Amino acid sequence: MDLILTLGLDALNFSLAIVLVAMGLVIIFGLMNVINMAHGELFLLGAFTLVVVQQAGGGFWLGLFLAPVVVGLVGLLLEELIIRHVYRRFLDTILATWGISIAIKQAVILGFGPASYTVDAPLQFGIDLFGATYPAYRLFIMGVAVLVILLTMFVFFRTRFGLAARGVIANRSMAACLGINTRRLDRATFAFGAALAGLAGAVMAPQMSVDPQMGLGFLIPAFLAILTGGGGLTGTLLGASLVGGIDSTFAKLWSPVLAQVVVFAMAILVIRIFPNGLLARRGR
Amino acid sequence: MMLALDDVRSGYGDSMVLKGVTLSVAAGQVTALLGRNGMGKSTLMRTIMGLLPARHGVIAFNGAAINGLRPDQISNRGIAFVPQGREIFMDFTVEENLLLGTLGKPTAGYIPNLVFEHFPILDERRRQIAGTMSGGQQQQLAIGRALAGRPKMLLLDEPSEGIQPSIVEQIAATLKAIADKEKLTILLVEQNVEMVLDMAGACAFIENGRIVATHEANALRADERLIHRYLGL
Repeated sequence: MDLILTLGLDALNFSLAIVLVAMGLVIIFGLMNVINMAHGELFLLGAFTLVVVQQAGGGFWLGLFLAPVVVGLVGLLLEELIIRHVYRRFLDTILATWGISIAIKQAVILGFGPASYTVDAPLQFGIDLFGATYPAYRLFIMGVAVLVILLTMFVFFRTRFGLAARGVIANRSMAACLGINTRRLDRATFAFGAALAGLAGAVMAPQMSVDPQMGLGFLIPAFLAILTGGGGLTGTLLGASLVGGIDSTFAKLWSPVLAQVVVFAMAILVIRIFPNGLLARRGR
Repeated sequence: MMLALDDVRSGYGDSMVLKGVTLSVAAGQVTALLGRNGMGKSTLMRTIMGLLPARHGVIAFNGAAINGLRPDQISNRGIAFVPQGREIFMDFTVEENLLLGTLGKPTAGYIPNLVFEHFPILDERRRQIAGTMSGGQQQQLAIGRALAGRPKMLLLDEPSEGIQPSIVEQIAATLKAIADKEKLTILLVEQNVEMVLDMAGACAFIENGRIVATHEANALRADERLIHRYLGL
């Protein structure tokens, strides 16, 4: 019974962490048609923001607050300097963001070295849940993810900014003809997506080794979640729970290597049967 | 003149569709643009709206050049566009479609009453998904969405396309009422000659990317041969 409960919570925990990373990717892709290959490195920058804040004597909570702000600003800068010049050329956006990802990774290696750092985690105690003891910090991660999901849904479905963004996703040139400043929206969206990646990096940092390669470990499951889910907010939630659930269950019961194999096999199978993902939207 | 085009050239890639359009649209009047298919009517609309760059010439709105501005800037100067095929946001509700028409404007978030006065059906169907409405209702929504931004001028591209004749008459009557009541300037591209003669004050004829003649609608009503000459009916 304890095992099942822990398995379930671990699966939920990993799934929600994937959602945190995938959400920014989906928003940026939906609005700007840009596949952001540098998203994993924005995650990395979020984690290192926390490292720097802690080294400077600031606490965890200050770092967690600053990470999305700093990475959001980095996103704003990247959009202004690079991304906006290659918008209309789909392949070039992949190449450009891939280049950005290498540059960020190397910059971090230059600044911090290739070794890994550890981050002091707060909330170092367990909480009793239905008879099992579960680490409080893991519950905190889940809470943050749920909050971010709700916040994103609120922004997109209940605010004018969200309506404008959905309008641009549905028909960019018509939205512009109605007076919506698509430039400003692109900039804000890229910064928002980057900030989400930064927040994810900081919130996950205490759980993993903080090193220059850490971005990839979350980028790949995030991409798989989007592919199998079919994009969109609900598709991403479904895909992330599939990838996260399978990965963490197999990793716990057998081995992390087998878990990877099963996740990829599942992804191939799903895409073979549903080429556009499980919850494909018509007429994208 | 509310809108004045002087020697405007534009097109796609290497091929110029507009080869020097000079056209004036008087304030408070409905001006119709007539011509056979492929003569550059829609290209002209898209160029005025900033969706296509004018490669030459000047487009002036209320005396200030607007060529080179982005579509959203042109929209916020007071030109609203009802494109061919309507381009309604199909998955959105009627209300969301109308709100999108207000977002760039000072009255963002408020749909002006005049929209529902002229198109009461949009008020009844606020919560309906736009894609589930009939073609005629969608056309009313497209016009309502344009009006929601309280424009000074309306560009209408083929409003009768794909709509049953009885509804076309109704839409034409409503458009005429709107033009009169709201003192709106309209540039109308339309194949339906009856609708044009019903609504327009002036008619310009476009051929091979140039305006070849301009007539008062009264003159055309008096002598139908004029229309036939340019449209080859």
